[in-house]
Amino acid sequence: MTGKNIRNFCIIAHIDHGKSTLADRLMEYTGQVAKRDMEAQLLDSMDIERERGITIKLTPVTMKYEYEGKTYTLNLIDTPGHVDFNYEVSRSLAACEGALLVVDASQGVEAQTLANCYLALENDLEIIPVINKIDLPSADVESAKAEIEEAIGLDASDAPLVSAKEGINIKDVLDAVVTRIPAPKGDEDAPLKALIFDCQYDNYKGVIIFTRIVDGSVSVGTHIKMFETKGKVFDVTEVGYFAPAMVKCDRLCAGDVGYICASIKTVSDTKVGDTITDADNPTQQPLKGYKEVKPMVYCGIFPADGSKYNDLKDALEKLKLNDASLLYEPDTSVALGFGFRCGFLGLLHMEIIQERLEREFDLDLVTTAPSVSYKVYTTSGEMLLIDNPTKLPPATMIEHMEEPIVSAYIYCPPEYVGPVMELCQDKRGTFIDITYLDTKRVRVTYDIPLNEIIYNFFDTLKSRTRGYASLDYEVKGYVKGNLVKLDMLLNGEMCDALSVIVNEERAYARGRQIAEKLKDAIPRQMFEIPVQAAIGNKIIARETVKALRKDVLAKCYGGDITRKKKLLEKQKEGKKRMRQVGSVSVPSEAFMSILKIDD
Amino acid sequence: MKEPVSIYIHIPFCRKKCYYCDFTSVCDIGGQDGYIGALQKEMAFYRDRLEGRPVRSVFIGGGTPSVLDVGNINAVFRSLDGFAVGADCEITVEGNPESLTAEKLSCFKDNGVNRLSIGLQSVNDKSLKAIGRLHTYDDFLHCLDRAVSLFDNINADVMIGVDASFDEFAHTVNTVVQLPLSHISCYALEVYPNSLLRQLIDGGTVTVTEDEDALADMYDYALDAFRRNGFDRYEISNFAKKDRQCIHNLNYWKCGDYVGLGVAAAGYLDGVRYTNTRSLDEYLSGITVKEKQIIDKNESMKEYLMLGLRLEEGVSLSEFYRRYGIPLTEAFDISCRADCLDLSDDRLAVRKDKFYALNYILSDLL
Repeated sequence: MTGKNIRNFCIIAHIDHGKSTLADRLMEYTGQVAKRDMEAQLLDSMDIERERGITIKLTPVTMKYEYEGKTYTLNLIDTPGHVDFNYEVSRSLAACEGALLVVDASQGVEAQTLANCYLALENDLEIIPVINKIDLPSADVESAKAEIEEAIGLDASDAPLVSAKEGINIKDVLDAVVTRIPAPKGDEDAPLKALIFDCQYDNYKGVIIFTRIVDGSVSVGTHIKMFETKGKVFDVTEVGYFAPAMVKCDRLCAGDVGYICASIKTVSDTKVGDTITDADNPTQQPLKGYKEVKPMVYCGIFPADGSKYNDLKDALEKLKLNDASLLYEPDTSVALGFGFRCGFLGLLHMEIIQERLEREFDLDLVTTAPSVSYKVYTTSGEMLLIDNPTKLPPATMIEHMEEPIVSAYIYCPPEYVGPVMELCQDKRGTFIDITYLDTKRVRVTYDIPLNEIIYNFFDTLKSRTRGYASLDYEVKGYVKGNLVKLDMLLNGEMCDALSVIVNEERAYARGRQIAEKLKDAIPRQMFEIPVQAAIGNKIIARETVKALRKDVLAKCYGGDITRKKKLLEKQKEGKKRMRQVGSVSVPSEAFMSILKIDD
Repeated sequence: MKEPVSIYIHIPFCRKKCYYCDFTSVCDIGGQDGYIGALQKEMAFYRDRLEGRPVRSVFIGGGTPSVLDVGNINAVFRSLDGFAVGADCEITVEGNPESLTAEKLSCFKDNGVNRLSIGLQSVNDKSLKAIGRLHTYDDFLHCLDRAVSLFDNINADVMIGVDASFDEFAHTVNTVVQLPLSHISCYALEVYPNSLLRQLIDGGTVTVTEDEDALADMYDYALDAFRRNGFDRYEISNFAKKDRQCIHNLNYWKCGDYVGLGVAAAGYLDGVRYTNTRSLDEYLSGITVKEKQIIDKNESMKEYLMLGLRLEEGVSLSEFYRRYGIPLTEAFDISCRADCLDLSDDRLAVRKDKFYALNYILSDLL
């Protein structure tokens, strides 16, 4: 009975097309949130999300809506829009029966929207197109509709036409959710079968499982177990739904979206994508779950203060809990000590994780240059996947190497096609296609090695197009590359944390740039420090940090020794935070400075 | 015999504040009567507390002590009479050319002052103007003329950095060494982030020298020129003719006791370092000491090294042992900066070519 009045849905949209605003409006319309309490973009609960105007984490919310005299429970599961977070999207899709496809009336369907839309179709979701931003002077509803029908093959004739910003026609959207999205099919009387689609850690409640109940029901006292962590049984201590804050309720039944707490203290006991069942009356067949994600970008993350290794470990563990796509393993560096090698879905994902570690866990980090995963074929006939330059075998043992190539789609106004193509060419790109989408928008397609994309591509793209261009990419495969390991030497000592794998032709320019950056970032010391870039034994670039000559402060006014001591203490503190590379003291900023090189 | 002590008296008045100044001084010269009153109270307190300890040196600094009027100058010295100031006590007064009039000079002389320190900074009028000094080089020369007839121990302050070019600075150095001086203090200009000078430089109105290498070149040049003309370096920034080293400054570097009197003055007495309030209002209302730090043995050893290494002669190992009962080489790991230090039979000193990077060396040693 209950299941019939439930609708589980998500929203698919390109960045900036108004997904979060629409979600806010739906909540406001259903009275979930009083208007005066509205904080713009409620579902984006992380500070980073609000600041950047993007959704990273999926966040569920339950709304009550009256339609033709009946009360419906609408569960909205927000989805991230960025390419890096495809994985998160597929997680929310698995918990839904339908999706709202939000399209900007002035911009039409974007590539990423398309990709997510296909994902939704693969998951057999009912898709309702919603045309947003109809209040804009540049809105062109008819071409937006036409584009939806052409590009996706969906009937857009009765698509709700809304302005989320102005609150126009929000009711149409809610009505469409009720009438067009199917009710969940689950059987309340069958054994419990529930999908874990997300988790959070709470210091008091332990792990909080975000779940979609497929069959059966769960309430306080139910003994639950998970399929993948066999054997362990937990007593449910609390169940509830999201309003969007967590609200306790008596039980969750088939079709419901909500949360479960069961005093689970160990983070690894819950795995996103796993199936929960009743330990006393288990289901035989688990849900399909998610496919494992493969990171595309890697980097080393080390605590700036070596003694904070365990704090970093805890923080990563907790982030991993609700971001299954984050991979990490312990790593050591001669220069940076103990830390982790982390794998990310993409550049934005990497940035977000670093930022969350620093903000939410108050950690100072040193990160190494991002790397991709290379296929290294050795002379002994082996194939190694190498994502860490320091793990690369000696050149003599390498037969050849392959690097990942992506199809990069760059959208920009026509006047920037020249600079964009020039940039792609500079980045070893192979031209594929150029399409004029309309008078204002061009899509330039190039195949580009991923290691060029992760190296400052996006920032350069933005600066060369005055911020007008946007970038999407997908991995195409591996191709043979002429790659070498570029090492940096400080006073003759190799600094492992600064090594990068680069295309041989680029190595000289890159070596020179890194050496220049390091020269500026390393403070003068009592001796002259040669900063060299090397491939194997061959030095390809050199800079010099001159010896320190003057740091004595001025007059000891009126015998104020205390002031002098304080200044000296400060200088000592600064030195303590530096890393030793042989005889050279290197500040954390130096390791980071090489990440920001302008081409 | 009682332990000797030095006295520093701060006079926080200036006719005009120099653009680089980060120190406590006010331009309300008319407020000096009240200040001298408060100063005399503080002096009375320390006079009792010292219980007749012999005074080794007195230094009246600022600010610009020479802006005090004669009455107030006399008042300060009358209060000093209560201390055990002997005939061989070094008594220095700081002043600027424009306020060291013949009348003031005689007044100082009559009150027993035997050492004069005049702020010159540069012989280039362009540089003087740029940093907000009120005098020209000519003014300084006239002042010096008046002073030499009364004093035989005169210091001039010059500054590295206020001259915008090496040649201008070289001219300053080569001119100063020819003057009838016994002592030269040569400090580097510090441009504090919030100072007026910073704004003027950033705004393009004023040009000074800030580059580390250029400053170091200037220092090396000055060091050499001073030495050739009989001014030997005895401390990083201080150069003196034979037997004319400043006793008062040496006392700081050798961790001797001293009383600091006046607003923002600092003192070191019986194992406690203290700093007076920097607020003139607070000082006038009778609140003096604002910060206190008890210097335990460990801290004292660090200070001894930190201050002693500023001296050309460095620190005496036997003196260190006598004070602390532990060999200096055991108390500190000097091997970590062996490349910058000279260790002889009884002395540890910074190598001559590393002197100007002392802070770096100290931050490794301490």
